[in-house]
Amino acid sequence: MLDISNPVVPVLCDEFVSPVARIIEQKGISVKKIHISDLIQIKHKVTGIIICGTALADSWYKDKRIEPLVSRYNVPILGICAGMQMLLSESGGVVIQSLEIGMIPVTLSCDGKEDILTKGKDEFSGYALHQYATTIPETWTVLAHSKNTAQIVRYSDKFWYGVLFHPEVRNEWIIERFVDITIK
Amino acid sequence: MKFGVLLSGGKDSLYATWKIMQTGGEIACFITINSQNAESYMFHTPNISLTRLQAKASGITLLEEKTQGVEEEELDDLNNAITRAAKEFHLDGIVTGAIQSVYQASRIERICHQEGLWCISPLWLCDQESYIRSLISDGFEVIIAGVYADPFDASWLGTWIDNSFIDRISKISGKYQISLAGEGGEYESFVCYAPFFKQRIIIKDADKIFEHGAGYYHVKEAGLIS
Repeated sequence: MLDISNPVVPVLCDEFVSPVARIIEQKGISVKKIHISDLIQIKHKVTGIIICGTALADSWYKDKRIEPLVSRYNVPILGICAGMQMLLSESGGVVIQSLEIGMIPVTLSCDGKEDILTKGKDEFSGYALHQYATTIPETWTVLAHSKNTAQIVRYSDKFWYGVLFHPEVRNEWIIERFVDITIK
Repeated sequence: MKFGVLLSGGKDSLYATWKIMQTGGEIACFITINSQNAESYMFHTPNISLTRLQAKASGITLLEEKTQGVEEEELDDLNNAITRAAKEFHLDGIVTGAIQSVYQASRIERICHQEGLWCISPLWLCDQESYIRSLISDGFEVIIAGVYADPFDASWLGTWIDNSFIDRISKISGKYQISLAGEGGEYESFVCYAPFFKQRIIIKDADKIFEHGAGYYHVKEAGLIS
């Protein structure tokens, strides 16, 4: 679990990382929470990486890079909200203003209806809390979208996913399915 | 960073305050919305005027705003209070005690975004049993101030949130789908003492008002002791 929140507000880990960790721990999977400034300290066997989101007002992560982590481990990755922005912006996506707050309708694309992460959940509501999104690079496929923007994306030939809304709020199934992918 | 806390008088807003203090944040003020509508979706109502005692006990300035409690219109009053507090106390952000309510959280997030403030909810999606146990072990003294769901009755009003409360509520939570922290509005609480209080609130006189399956603990007289 990668915490990308501003270290000046350490309680953000409780709000944005711990809820995701609890969903995974309830499946009997052990979780290690690491702040992005401590990446060098990872000494555990890594089977999957989740890059968690942060507060709406937090932009501290915007000049940080996750490429060293991504290139070190060939494992499934899930970027949530700001975590998705980091994944996509390092693949060529451009960060753009896109304000969404609260529950929003999310609809699967044709690709989303076939993907192992999302299939069977054609329409649902997601809890959005972001003021930025990114353009979608060609190497990424849109699996689901809201009225305004892509909400779930996947890198073309890897199990790398981005979810712009917060799946830990009322859509725990997304995190549970991602964990199943890491086990497979 | 300097924060204002949306203070309801209940355990969640004061435990959120405690968590911010423990992680180095400065609490510059409390903000209380005094709703005239007992059915308000947004704001806690039992004994809301007693937040003055909590502010005095903790030595933190209280900023109060009244609202008629009309759904959605009450958000304008909240917006006014947050704007006033931000200006007066040079706040960086607002702290809420929200645990699960997307309704409350998203509305406060919108106001904070408009005002250029951080919005922090340290208890968001917390493990409710661990939270209630921490509340007790950290020294918070909390009573049940209102009950609004089956099978709560008048016997719960004014009782302490302690280990026997956890045992009692754990036995009924599954059957009646009651959240342990009362986040679904099943019960509301009032904090008489928190670890950062310099004085303790003593309830000298109170009535249990209970009818049609709901009730509240009406505190008629309370004071502070060192």
